[in-house]
Amino acid sequence: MPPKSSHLPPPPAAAHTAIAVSAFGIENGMQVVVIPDRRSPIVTHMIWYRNGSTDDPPGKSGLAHFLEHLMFKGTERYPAGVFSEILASLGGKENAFTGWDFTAYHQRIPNEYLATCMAYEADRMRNLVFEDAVVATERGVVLEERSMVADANPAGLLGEAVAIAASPAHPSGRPIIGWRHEIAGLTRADALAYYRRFYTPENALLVVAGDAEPEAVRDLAAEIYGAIPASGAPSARWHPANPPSRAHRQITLVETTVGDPQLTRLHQVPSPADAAPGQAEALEVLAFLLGGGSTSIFHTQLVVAQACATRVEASYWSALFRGPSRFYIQGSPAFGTTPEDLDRAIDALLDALRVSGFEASAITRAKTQLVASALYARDSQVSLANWYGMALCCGLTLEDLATWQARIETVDADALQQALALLEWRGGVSGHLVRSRAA
Amino acid sequence: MTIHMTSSGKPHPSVRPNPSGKPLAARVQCLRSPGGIEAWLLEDHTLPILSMQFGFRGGPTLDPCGRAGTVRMLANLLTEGAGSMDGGTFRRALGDRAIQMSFSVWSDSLRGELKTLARETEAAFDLLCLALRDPRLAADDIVRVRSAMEAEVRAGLSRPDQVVNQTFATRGFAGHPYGQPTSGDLDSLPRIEQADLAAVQTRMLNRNNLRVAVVGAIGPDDLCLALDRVFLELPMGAPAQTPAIALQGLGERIVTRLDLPQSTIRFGRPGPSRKDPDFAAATVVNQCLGGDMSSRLFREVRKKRGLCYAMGTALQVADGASTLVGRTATRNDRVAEALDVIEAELVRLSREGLEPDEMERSKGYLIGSSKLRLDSSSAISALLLGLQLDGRPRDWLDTQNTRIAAVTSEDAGRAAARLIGDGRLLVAIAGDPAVP
Repeated sequence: MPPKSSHLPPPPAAAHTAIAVSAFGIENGMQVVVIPDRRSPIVTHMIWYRNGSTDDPPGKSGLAHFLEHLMFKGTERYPAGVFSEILASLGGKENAFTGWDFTAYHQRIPNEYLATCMAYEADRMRNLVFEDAVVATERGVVLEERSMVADANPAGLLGEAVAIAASPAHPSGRPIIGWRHEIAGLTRADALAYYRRFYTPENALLVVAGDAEPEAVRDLAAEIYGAIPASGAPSARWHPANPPSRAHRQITLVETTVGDPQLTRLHQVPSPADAAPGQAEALEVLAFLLGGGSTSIFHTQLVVAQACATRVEASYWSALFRGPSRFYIQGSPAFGTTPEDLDRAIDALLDALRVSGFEASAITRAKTQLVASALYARDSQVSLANWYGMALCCGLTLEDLATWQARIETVDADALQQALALLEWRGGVSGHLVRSRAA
Repeated sequence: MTIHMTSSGKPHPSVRPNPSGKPLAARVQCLRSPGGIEAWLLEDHTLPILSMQFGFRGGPTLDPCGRAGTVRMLANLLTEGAGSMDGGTFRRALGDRAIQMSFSVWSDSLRGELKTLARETEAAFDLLCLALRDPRLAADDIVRVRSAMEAEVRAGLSRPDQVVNQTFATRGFAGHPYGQPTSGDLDSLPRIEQADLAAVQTRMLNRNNLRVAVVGAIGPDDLCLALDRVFLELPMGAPAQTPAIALQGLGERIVTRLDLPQSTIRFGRPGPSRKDPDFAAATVVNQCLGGDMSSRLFREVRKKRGLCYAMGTALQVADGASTLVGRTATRNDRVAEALDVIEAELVRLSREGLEPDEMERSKGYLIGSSKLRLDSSSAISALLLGLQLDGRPRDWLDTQNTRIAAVTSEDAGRAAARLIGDGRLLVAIAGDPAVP
């Protein structure tokens, strides 16, 4: 805790040479992935549950995240705070986060204490104690968290409005933290029912990264997590699909507290698990080409040449969703330019690219940097553990991850044009953050 | 279900200890190139990559009077072209080779990181050399970088965190460079001219201010040659020195009205300097007060009362000042209550010191977690650079752990009493608080 519930960074991309990952299952259906890194005597221990805010029942948005907070409130064996104190005395760190399609709990510790963390996570997978008073206090904490990320943060509020407009039917359009009025109504019974449904070995994924032998992890996991009885496969989930959109939607938030106008444009695009072959890879390269840093088309054209923005970025949220995913274009208009002007300039540029295509050297450069950034990300066991956990929770396989580099390298001009077609004006939602003149 | 496991934290026999378990200091080499450039190297060929971090002492304390933001603007301009290459050409040269070069501004230094694939090491060093020795600082780039910085400043005016940080620093360090915004403000940024940038470049980017740390796939001989290529032609220059100051404005509450449902709060007092004999004890005290989720303030303000989401304290130690800074945010109508709880906890800490078990737990955490910082090349090179800029020896992490282990209840009690003193705080609030 403090759980980072929204705004997870886009996952680092994968491999250069093969990463020596071990994967296996234990008898009760729990899946285990071990990512060795022997450079420091540290391990990262993460339990991922394949459920997130997308699975919040209608009218109870924020439940997955609320339960994540309650998971720190203790079991009979580890009353509230006891494990945190044990972990702290060993020099370990812990935290948790909730996404749309996963909830994860993690500790980083000197490697000899891996079993200590496993025993704790195994216990709180089934034995959480819920007390009404604790539930009420923690609801207050979550409402303060909501104030911080949204209600006291105009950009956060606009982001929520844009996301729900882009995804009016599929529940991943709702904010992870939940709507304020729905958080206020969450009860102990809601949390308990949700916990019993999803916190099961079959729904869990264990990721251990760092200085640990796969065989030793297998033995420990079988002994500790294996003691939890299987509870039957988690119920299949079905979510309504969004209607096709042929109407561009524009949302404007006008506030006296806005310091600088902003543009956020969102296009709904397939997630890697949902995409046609090659489509997700093309979206990844496209995001980098358009708005991935200072050699990008947006930077050179809009920031440097046209000087109509001080910053324009593009990002494909590849491994955050099992269902529909998001492609964002976000920027700050130059002084005297409105978000609407910038929105139009971006669209004109995208139209021009549909005609001119992309320079071959720029495509090559983007691919080189994407592949290298995957190698740089391997430098951090935490990045790797996050990447594997997210991707596997979002419906990808280890095979998908192992072939990522090769598939990025096959992206060509045609695939990029097809990806560009997903960013048509009429399918998108534009959010304009504007400063109110009256103060 | 029964789970037969220790919860006492005993090591499990089936996870064997790290074979290469030498302490970090023993693996770090202190190099001196033929030309006299010094660097700390941790050679590691696990991945074919290299992270070099370097810093120039001085940083934003060298901003000319009334021109806050000069050093940050220089940092932003260092990747906007050098020699005969304009910004686009320079960045494409980096991008084609997947070289990452970035600069950041800290309270007493300007730091840079060069990250490269081992196969591009030579090109990476050449481009860095060019950026440091011959940045273009072209008029059109200055205009663009300035307007981007102004946009950030304007955006920051509505972000309570940024507003409250600046209010706290402006009052707490009035008359000192630490009171100036490192990103500049809407008055200072328009005044910064090319000549200011060039002057700061000459004044700061010199060999006397330079410290270097490298982690990754390079041997000492190759690195020494590279050090001379990159840094040797920088001028010797004069070392930068930050004047000392202690946090001011104790007992004051400064409110910046923002029309928001939540108030963001900073509070603080002066802390011990790096050389203070009670520094290790004060670190333990801070850990118990607000260092983590088992700390007193986290427990009292968040867990018991649900008043906040974020709550923590830290010792912020810079060359010229050391400060205990706390941060939290709470509903406007409960600001007074939160501050009362915080102040009561400070008084209790100063009067009663630490409980033996919480002190042992905090010591265990500080010692054990120091290893967790060493989990990537970038993290290690940042640490090695930080130690050098702070004037610490190579084995400081190990010796600091020994000092922390040796802290007694008496030491902690004395350090708490000194740290909390009369309990008066400088408090800055951004929001629409009901009371103060």
